[in-house]
Amino acid sequence: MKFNYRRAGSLKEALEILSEGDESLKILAGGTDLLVMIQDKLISPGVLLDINGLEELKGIEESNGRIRLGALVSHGQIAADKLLREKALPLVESCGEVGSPQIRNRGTIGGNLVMASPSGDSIPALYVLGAEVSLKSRDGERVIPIEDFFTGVKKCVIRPDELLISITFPALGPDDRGFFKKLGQRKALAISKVSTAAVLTLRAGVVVSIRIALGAVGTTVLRAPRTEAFLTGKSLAPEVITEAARLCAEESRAITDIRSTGAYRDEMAGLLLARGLEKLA
Amino acid sequence: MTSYRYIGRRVPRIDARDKVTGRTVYSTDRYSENMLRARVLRSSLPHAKIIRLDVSRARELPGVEAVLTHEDIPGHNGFGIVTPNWPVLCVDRVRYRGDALALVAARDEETAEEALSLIEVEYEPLPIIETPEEALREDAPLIHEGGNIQHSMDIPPKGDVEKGLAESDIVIEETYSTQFMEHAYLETEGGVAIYDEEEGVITVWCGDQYAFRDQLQIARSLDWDPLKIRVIGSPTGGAFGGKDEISVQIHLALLAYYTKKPVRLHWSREESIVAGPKRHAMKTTFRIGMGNDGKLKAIDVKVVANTGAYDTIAGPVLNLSLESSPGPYKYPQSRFRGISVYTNNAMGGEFRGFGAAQVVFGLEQELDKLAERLGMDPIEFRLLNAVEEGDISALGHRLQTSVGIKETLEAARKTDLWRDREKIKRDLNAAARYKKFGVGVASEWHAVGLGVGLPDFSNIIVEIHEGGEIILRTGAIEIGQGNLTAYAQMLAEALGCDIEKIKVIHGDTFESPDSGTVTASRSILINGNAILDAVKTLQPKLIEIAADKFGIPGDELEYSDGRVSFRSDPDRTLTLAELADHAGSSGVPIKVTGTAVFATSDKDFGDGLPHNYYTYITQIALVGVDTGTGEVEVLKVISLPEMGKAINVDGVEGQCEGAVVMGQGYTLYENVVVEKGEFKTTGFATYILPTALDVPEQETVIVEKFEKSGPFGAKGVGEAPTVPVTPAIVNAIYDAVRVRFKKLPITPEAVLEKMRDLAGTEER
Amino acid sequence: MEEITVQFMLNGKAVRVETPPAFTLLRLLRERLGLTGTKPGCERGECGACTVLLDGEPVNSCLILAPQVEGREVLTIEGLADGDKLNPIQEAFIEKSAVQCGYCIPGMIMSATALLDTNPEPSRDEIKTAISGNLCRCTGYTKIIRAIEVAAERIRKR
Repeated sequence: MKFNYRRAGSLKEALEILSEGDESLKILAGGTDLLVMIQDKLISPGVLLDINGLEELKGIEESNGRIRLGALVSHGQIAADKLLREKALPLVESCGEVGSPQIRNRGTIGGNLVMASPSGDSIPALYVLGAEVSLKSRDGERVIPIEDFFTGVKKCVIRPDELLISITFPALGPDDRGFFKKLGQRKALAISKVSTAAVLTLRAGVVVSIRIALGAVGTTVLRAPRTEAFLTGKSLAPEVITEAARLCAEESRAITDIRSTGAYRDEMAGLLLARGLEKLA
Repeated sequence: MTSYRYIGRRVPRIDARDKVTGRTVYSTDRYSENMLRARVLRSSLPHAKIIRLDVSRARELPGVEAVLTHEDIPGHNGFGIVTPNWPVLCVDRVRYRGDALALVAARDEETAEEALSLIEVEYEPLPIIETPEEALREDAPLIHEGGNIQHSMDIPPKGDVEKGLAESDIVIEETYSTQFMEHAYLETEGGVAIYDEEEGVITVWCGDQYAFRDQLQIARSLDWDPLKIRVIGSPTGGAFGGKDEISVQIHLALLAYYTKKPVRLHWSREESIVAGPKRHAMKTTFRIGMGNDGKLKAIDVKVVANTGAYDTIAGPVLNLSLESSPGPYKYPQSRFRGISVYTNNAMGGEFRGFGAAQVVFGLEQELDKLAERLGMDPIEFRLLNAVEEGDISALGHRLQTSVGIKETLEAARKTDLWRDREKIKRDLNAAARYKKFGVGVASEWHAVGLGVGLPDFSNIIVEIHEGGEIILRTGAIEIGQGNLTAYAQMLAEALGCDIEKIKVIHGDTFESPDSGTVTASRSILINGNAILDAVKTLQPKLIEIAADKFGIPGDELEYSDGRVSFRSDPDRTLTLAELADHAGSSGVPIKVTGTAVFATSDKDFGDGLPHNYYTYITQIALVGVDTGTGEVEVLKVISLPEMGKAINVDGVEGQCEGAVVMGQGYTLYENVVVEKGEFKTTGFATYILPTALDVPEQETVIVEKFEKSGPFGAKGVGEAPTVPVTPAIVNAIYDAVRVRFKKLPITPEAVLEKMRDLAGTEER
Repeated sequence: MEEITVQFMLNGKAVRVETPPAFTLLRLLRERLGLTGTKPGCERGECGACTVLLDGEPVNSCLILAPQVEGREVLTIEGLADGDKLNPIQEAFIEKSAVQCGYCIPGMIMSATALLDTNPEPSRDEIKTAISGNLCRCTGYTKIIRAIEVAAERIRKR
């Protein structure tokens, strides 16, 4: 590896540097993907800008029913956070299954989003939580709904002069339930073959609303709108869940690769949904 | 029962303290001032002619100290344990993606890396042969001049197998296939070399399994006096058969010779997966006949091995597949045939288990199927057919050393898991919403030693120094299995001294004698016998020294428990320290050599077949199968090995526990995927090893049976527990969900598909 | 690339060292500071052999750049023993024969250290999770898990 290293002392400085338009510059957050890509020679940046010192990008806060995660919050912090366990369970469950303790301690939520891998585990959870992503540049800030953030495999709308600074989403309420489930090739250090996240509002056993997101089964994380529509207004009876799983599998768009087959992934997307729902029924 | 102080106990490893403090210096931990960093240019095509190889631009890069090609090899451009046809640096042809074309040594990694990118190679692609089937076609291009069949072996048939099958009441036939498997030692191949111009000595430190063979192979390629090549191969960060062959050794020696500076070469993980030898992929066809009484009548086995690009040790591996294929059972008629075939997909080689895991995976499923046909308990069925000491084996040789297969099966039958398995499964099934549980069993006999006709020996040296320090010198490498501790235990026991007094100098061609290779589960037996031989020579020598000191005839003295004493007055003694001091002052250091040679079989089928010693083992697995996802969880494995006497109980357990997880990985996760010669698995994100969260609870039940020709009754145990664990898991999956597998690894996708097929059949 | 100076606390002592900017912490430790107890196994964060503690947390030193440890605290395997006195985890690893080839062991012990520092009474599952980023090819993990249990008991009794 050969590159220069710069440390950003403040958010302002970081944004200034980004505005210079150095195409060989890459932003270093947790480094758990970036350094692997450099080692694998997929990219060869001339300089890395270390943003780990930026306090503005840290912290987990709740105010007025919304939760804000600084982009540098690690998967490990999320997995261990009591507030999030109560008010954003799918995210906690997803971050707890990322990589290994070592990776969770370093890998950041912001980094996971910017890498834009369809198998990034935090992404389906943020989809169903209805998250928004704040991107800041020297010229201003824009807030993008998470579903508009990704444009393809490893592609997202962030501009080279922008920094992802935070993620916000509404806290789950007392009637809300959620889960994240994944299948990997093993129980740790596993990249998802398929994952399913859901958040639903249940009143008197009836699904008032539901959001379902599927990971690693498309070019980006996918929602399952037909399944959501089917479940809305229904109680979680076994035959309803079976039908929902079938629909969900249909909505999945997985391909075959080294980790699994498209058919298996599609079917499992539905099965994971069913398993999550069965636990809530 | 003999009561021992060290043998058969849990003795802490003599190397553990350095390993838990990070003080152990592995070969790849050696750094020094002005040490160069080396890199290897590997082929970018799996099969091609080399039209042009131009290193001139790389040589001009500032900071580059050497760029070497085949033209710079003074001696034989090839290596290989059996046939040295694996090029050190390719001349005009590449045969797999791991082939080496050029070497670079530069002042740092980055410069070496850049130099590689400046080397120009022009190839003319050749057709890529992926499988033995393709390689055996008449119009197939030849990978080597002699043809695509690297080795074939027909063991002289016993009786008339066709007649035996015809006379059987039940005959079953099936073909099983297995994948390439990666050793995945945590320390990849690597080391350091230094050329001392004044002495004319090249020293190579590199984790290996047999420094003395490396020494010869280096010397052959450098056209150098072997005695001026020093190889230090110990300790090694894991080997499992994968470091018996040359990896970095010759490259390092060449670079040290040309640059005259210390050079370091350490393969990346990807390089280790792509370039290093793998466990052979194989296809095995069984035809087995049985009478209605449950007695096996005939077995016909055919093995086709994919050995990849070069020879290394493919012949012996295939031979051991054949020898292992009938298992420890009696068949009046038998036939074993095999071929090993060159392809351009990877490089097959030596791997713990040495050809056995591939065939036993199939055999032990066939046996379960046969038992089921008769409604017999799988253990009863195996017991009915198991061999005993003195029997003629399936291959036709007499089993003249200890045979404990029946004892391991009896012990397995008595375990709670086996005895109460129906209740255990019922309880688990009742508590689980998505899973079904099953229990399976499988057994194996695993050859110990290299086999008849091969140089299967050991030399060790024992010295006693002033102050009483005892030095044991052995060429054996510590590859992690704990053999050094076992040697110290055996020497301490035989001498009657404290183990703390013993220092083991190992794996160094200048400082230790040739003890043979650390493979084939042979180290305990052969080095143990050499140690006992040394002690036998040492005792009279000690008495002689004492006689000199006391000035009396030797026959008035006797040796026991680390001292020489007067027969008439046992309180008058000389300790080892006192004896060494006296010997030292009279200028006669105490130093003895011990040797041992493996006793061999009564038959000789050639190429090392058959063997004279076997580890016998039975393993039981409890699995849960998720009927929705197809995921298999291995909950518990019990290993019941018979390896003669256990020298170190922790060591035997450790071998079993590690082997079981290796076998679990082979069964469920691990697969070196190579398509059209290109590696799809290049690291630990795609080559899946079990983590601590994936592994079963384990138990080891040591079944001891004294082997009269082994040290303290011991044989060996290193490989056997890697083998039957696979069919035990597969048989357990069948017990849980009634589906069988002919192919490894058993992925959740495959389980689900099989379960679908079964449900479809049942509906029809 | 011009080398830069990094200052940090290493095994309880302040160090100041020159490093190429693209050096990982792993390479800095091994090649500049002579601490070879921390091992390279994959250099992709997939095996855990290079695990060290950064401000008390286990991390893969192959995925941290040397300049990133400026002003921080790094603990490696060499910093665990107090002279000849081993820490309870090291002792338990010896006693329970949790060591075979030993190459994964420094990383394994660092992960165990981080666990027991924050959770002196871990369940077996918590132990397995704590070392789930540390691959071992020799032991099958059984004796490693047992050793960590024994170490935890001893630490609690103190």
